[in-house]
Amino acid sequence: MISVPARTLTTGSIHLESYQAHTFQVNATNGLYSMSINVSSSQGHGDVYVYFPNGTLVNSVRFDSSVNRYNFQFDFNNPDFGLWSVKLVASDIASDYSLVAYSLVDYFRFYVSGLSVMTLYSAAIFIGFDIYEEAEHGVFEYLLSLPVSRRQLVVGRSIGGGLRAFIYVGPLIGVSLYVIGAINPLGFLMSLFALFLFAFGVSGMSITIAVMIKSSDRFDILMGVLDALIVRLSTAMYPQAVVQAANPLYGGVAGFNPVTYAADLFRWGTGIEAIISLDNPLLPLLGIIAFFSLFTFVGVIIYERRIEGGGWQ
Amino acid sequence: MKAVLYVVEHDFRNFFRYKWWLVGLVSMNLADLFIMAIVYNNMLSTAVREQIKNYFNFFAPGLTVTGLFASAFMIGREINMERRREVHHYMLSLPMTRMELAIGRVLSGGLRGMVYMSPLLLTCFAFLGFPTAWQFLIILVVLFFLAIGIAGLSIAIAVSTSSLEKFITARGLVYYTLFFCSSVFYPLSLIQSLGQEGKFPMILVTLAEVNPLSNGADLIRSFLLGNPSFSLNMILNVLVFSTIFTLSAAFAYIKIIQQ
Repeated sequence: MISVPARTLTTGSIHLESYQAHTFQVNATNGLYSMSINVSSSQGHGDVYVYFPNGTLVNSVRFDSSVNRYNFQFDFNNPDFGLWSVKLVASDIASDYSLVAYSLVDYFRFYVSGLSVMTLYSAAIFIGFDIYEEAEHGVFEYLLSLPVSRRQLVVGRSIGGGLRAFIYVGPLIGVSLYVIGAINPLGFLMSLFALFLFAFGVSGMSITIAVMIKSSDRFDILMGVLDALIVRLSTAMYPQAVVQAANPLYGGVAGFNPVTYAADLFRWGTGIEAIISLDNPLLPLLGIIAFFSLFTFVGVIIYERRIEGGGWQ
Repeated sequence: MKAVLYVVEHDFRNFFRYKWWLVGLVSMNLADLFIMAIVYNNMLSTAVREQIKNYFNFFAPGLTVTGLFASAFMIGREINMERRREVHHYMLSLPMTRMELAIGRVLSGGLRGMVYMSPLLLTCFAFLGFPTAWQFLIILVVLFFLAIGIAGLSIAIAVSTSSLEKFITARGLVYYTLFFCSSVFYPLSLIQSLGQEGKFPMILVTLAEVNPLSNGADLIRSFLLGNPSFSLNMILNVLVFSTIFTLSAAFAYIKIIQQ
């Protein structure tokens, strides 16, 4: 159902006079999940022959302007490694031909990895609901009476919320790793570290918002809306290029979203092929660190100011 | 009949107490439509694009059914809470028959689903075009039966589970089975072709075919998009589902809350 271009393998165009022929070569690299070849004729005339790397003919079709057949698409799952040939033969009418071949995203692996990050986000948010429960049952006053500073309390809650979310999502991350397959140990450790920071950051955000608004109803709705927007306007479910193509505004928001940073880093660390246009993993890592710092350290200040004085609803 | 109306009124008052929750649900549904469906529109394979043309249009009826399901299912959560807090003793003491009480609960669950779903259905009409008067009537009747079937299913689960955790777990299982094994998110023909290729268990293909959510969504699509074509089985499947779960919910409710 889903077909998302990952990267262009070959692109080219040529003008062929009548009965002239030209062959394009498409290099299918080893371990390619899927490949798509698009061929078009401006006049809707001529023939196309597609050959395997060993020279065997795979498919042959004919353009036909009388039935609006100006282009063809050939999709191949797990294509043979090597040089594929696409031969174009003009008919009695000269025509311009173009070819674009690209690899396709393995959407199953892409989605599985995004699912881990989405679940981690939802699990880390739960700490905010605990805050309301504690306020309702009077546990808050007990916590305030403990011999720990307010700062230690909020940092501890933040780390605790992030850690328990991580434990909760651990089995899912394990399943994701199994589905995704081979990993680069160094990259994976770095992305795991980023996921830890992400979970702590989300917990910190949840605590900060909870103590700021002090109303469980408002918190519930705000978290619902935030969840709807932050997850859907991220690359957890779809690649950045597709979000950008759908709507530049969506793409802009997705580019500055902690869920995007976490999802991209996790995919990068788990070695999924370059389907995320992640040229430099340092940028999302810095984004995650900034997110974590904002909601942990700024959260501490807000927490200290708002924690006392009651007013919980 | 008057007693049934009192029960419906009671449940409607409760429904609007969850206004914040409903706002969250609406925003999530709209985000699904105006963000997720638009982005997915750019990701469809050529074969699927030829079949459904536009994912936004395809998904809008599915989303209507999703909203209907979520809101009609809420009655179960309330009944589960009443059972845990033993409010049902008060309900049983009211001057009405057990059957009136049970029917009132199922009916209100269904009507609440219809109320919540109507803005989603209107959004669907606004983007996909309006059906004829007869088609509109059929859509409303079928969706109402679907809603009371879902409310019945939810009540049957609520009275059979002793804790909120068990209810939420059961709800999750039902939700994921019914939604992902339906044509809400992807065309039924795709599930059928995967089944024929041996990539999807045939039992799940059959479940997707008789699934009332598939039939509800496809009924709206058949009238608004013309694909899939309308079939009487769509109505029949929903009616069978609705009858089974309305009756089983009513009897389970009467039996279990009396214990």
